[in-house]
Amino acid sequence: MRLNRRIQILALVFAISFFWNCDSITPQDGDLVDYTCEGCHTNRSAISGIIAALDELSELPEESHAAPG
Amino acid sequence: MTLTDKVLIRLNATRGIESYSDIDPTHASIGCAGCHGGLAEVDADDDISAYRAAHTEMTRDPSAIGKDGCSGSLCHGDIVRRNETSIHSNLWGEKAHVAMRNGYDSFEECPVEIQEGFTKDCSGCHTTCGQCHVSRPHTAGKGFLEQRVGYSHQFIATPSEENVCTACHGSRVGDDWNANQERVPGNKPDVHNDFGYTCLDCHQEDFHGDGATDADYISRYHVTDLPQCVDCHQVDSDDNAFHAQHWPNADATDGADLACYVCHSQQYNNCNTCHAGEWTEEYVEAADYSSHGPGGYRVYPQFKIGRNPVYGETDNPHGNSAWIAIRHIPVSPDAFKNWNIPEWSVDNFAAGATNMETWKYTSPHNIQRWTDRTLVDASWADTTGQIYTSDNCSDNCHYHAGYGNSDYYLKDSDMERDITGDDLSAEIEANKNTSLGDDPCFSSGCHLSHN
Repeated sequence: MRLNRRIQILALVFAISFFWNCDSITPQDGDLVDYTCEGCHTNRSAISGIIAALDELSELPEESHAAPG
Repeated sequence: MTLTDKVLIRLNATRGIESYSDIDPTHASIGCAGCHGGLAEVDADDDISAYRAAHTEMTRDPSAIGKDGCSGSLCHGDIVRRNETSIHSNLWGEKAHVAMRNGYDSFEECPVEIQEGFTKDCSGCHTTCGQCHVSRPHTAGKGFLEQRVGYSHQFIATPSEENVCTACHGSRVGDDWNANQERVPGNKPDVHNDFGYTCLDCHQEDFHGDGATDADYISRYHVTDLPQCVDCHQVDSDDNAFHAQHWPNADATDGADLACYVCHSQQYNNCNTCHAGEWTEEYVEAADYSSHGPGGYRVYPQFKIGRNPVYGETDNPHGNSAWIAIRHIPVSPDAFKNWNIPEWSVDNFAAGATNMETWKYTSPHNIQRWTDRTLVDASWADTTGQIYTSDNCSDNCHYHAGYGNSDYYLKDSDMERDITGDDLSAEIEANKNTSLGDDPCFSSGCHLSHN
């Protein structure tokens, strides 16, 4: 393999290593492990799941209506 | 905006935003439960059980009056104390007008049916600290003001024009200001908007109020230090013959004083036949006026000029203009019939109609220099190519038999059958000091007798 090609591949592998442990946009997504305010309110999938469950139970908080002010 | 988006605090570890303390270290030091109550950490077997336990005795809006969220702190003590009596927090003007329309001098004198009805159907429009500085107002749908990573649940010193100001002041300010073509087709945005002004460039009054005297406000127009056109435009008072003739002046006696909006406003939203207690989630508009929306109200674009009932009252903020732009407000003679007021019945609603006008002074936020009243020469088309048909500014307004545009002026016939087809004749008596009546030439005072 030509030297330039090898250098490019090595550079690519080197760059990838910086993102190997990249956290997701919402790093605490997925199953809740800490039942804390922040643990839930920074976890999109957890909030969505709870909202869906509350909706099935008819326990969703009352939403105010927009007034034509 | 989904409910998830409304309550999600967005983090991103790669950007160094790993917790709420990275977004707002000052308020994070208080802790979530420090403001909102509830339990900051729970042991539970499942998510729903955890939700229920954590939210027990939680306060969604800890900044509401009577809550301890923002009050008493070393940081916000004075502002919070003044805000507790502000017009935004207490709706003083709305309360005053509900009382007056029912024949009472003050809200406190109203029977319990009116007070409870107001609390149930009208009080939702009040704000709190959080509903301006953290999330969208409740009446605008809630949700954090900023949905971006690193900004969720941030305390924003200057509220957003889009998500706060015009989110509440929508149909009568936001639609004008931004020329919502679905509501006011053909309009241009307010010229100040075009020049990059925001609400706060003009509205420099203190929204947190002056203190206990705020309760004396009977309308928003009585708030101290409201912006006036002359704050910037007094220098234009003698720019042309029309300004020289019609500029409102302090002595207000010659009947020629015009409010600026009479010449420089475009059409704006009007509402009618509204009834308290009949709101629904869907704010439906009948664009073709073929049906009423929920609660019976309609919204429609129109421009009207009327006589000023308070002309000459020097202590009134509008007292220096003989002619004003007027807007039909969302009320009807039987607007409060659902409150079961003992001495008030459907047969009696005419009495309610005589209490106060339903076409009222308005300050449309849709100012243009050139309107169909001010553009003198048809060749003076604007850069969009819009052509105005009149060639005499005076003829536009001083209508006489055969020429001029009498449609600008409110007449009794406009209420016998309004633009939407509704019969508002029950409101004629209430608007007798604003309308030009049956015979505009004489009732307006322009001509006192036949020649």
